[in-house]
Amino acid sequence: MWQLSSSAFLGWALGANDASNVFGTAVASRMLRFSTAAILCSLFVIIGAVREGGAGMHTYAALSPTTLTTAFIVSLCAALTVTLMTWRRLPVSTSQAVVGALVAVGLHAGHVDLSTLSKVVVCWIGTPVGALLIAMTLYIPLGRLLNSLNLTLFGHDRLLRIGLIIAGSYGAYALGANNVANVTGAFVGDGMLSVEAACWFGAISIALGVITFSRGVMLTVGRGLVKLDAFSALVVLIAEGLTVHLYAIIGVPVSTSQAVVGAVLGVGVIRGVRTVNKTTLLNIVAAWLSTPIAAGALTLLILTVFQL
Amino acid sequence: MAPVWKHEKDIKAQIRAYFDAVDEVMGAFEKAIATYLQEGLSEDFAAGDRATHRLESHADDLRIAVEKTLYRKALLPESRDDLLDLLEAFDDIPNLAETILFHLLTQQLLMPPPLLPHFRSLVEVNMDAYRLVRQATEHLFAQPESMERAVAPVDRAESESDALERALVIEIFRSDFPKADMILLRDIVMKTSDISDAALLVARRLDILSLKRRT
Repeated sequence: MWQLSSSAFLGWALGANDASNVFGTAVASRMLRFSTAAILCSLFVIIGAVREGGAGMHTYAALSPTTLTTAFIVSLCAALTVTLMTWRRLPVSTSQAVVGALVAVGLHAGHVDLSTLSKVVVCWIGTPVGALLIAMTLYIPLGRLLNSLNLTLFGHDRLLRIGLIIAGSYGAYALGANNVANVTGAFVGDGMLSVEAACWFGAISIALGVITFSRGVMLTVGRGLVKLDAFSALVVLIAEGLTVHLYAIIGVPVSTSQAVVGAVLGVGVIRGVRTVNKTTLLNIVAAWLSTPIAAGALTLLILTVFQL
Repeated sequence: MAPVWKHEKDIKAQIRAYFDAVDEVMGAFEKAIATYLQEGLSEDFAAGDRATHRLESHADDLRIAVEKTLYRKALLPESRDDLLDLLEAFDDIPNLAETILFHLLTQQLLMPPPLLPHFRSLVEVNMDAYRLVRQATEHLFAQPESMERAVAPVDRAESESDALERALVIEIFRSDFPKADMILLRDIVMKTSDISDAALLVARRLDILSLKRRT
């Protein structure tokens, strides 16, 4: 099944990029060694993908019909879109690229399930909004709980470090559960791959991306998030994990980066400080449109040129 | 991966060792000043100066070791930065003690008898300020809720030291000592009073450190 090569590439790229959303803060602040973060992230991505990655697979299978060849093209075009847009420093979401490519396949075949598509789009919008609301809801009660413990500097530090490791691991679990469908979801329709096999293959691809290529992104992205104090970073991670996990249960792959932005904004609202600038928010909105359009256009081009 | 608490234990032990070393410096300083007030620039006083210098160097070495440990081991960045700032501020106290003795000895400065009682009081008040802030540092390890209450007594000691300093400086410049001696004596008095200023700065840092951890 050489066609799986494109999804392996997509999974690897997703792992290399998205690991920073869960362990970037801890690694960049030297709280955790990269090797430890990579092992924890990979392990929990695999567990999440295998345990709960199936729902997203069914959503993608329902969105539009695929064959082995079109599944290969979906993964390839999504990977190329993500790579190109990242290279051009444009905002991009893997989930949105895959959906754009799947919709293009569906349009070419004359069948796109609009109700599934609507559900997916609503969930995209709901991702940063949901993370914002969860972060706002969690901040004060968690803060009160922490204050009530009356900890010394060292006790406070220890609790937050343990919390960041646990929240990061949960975030990795949610990442695996939610995003594995992006990697191999296109191959599940028509029995090309079983859901279980797709989950394992996708999970291992993502894990390999985390272990081999996520260090640089973790340090770059993590340094940006380090401006948050440790408690706020913990609330952001928990909110992001819960949001992404919720959408994994619903069965719609979403962007972990957009969940992080939403959660950071939520913390800022509660604290009365500006934590996210307008440009970042506009970038999210732009990605909702530009990513699926770019991936869809590329897919249609290939399908048309090669008369597939 | 070492357990999360192992590095914390190491850091705590090193910080305690540093604080204990500073206790020894200040103990040696107090003893040397007592010798100076009784015997002037005697050989015993010179020995006290050397001992204080040696102990201060040892305390410095311990502080640098703590800094290296903090940068290498796993603490959150804000905890690391707060502790580093605290230790840097705390280190001003033994530095001042060593400097005072060094200046007395190298400048061959004898405190005129009329000033002795007031200078003795000034030293006592500043040593009290040190002891109070040193007590406050124990709240890093236990009873953090008491940290806020630790600032006020240090503040009072610093105010008392300021008043004694002003009175002494006025007395110096109203006297008929040689002008050069007046300036040198003034400097020693101000340096001694700086100990309580440094102690108050440390107390305020401890307070802020505690407040920052309340969400």
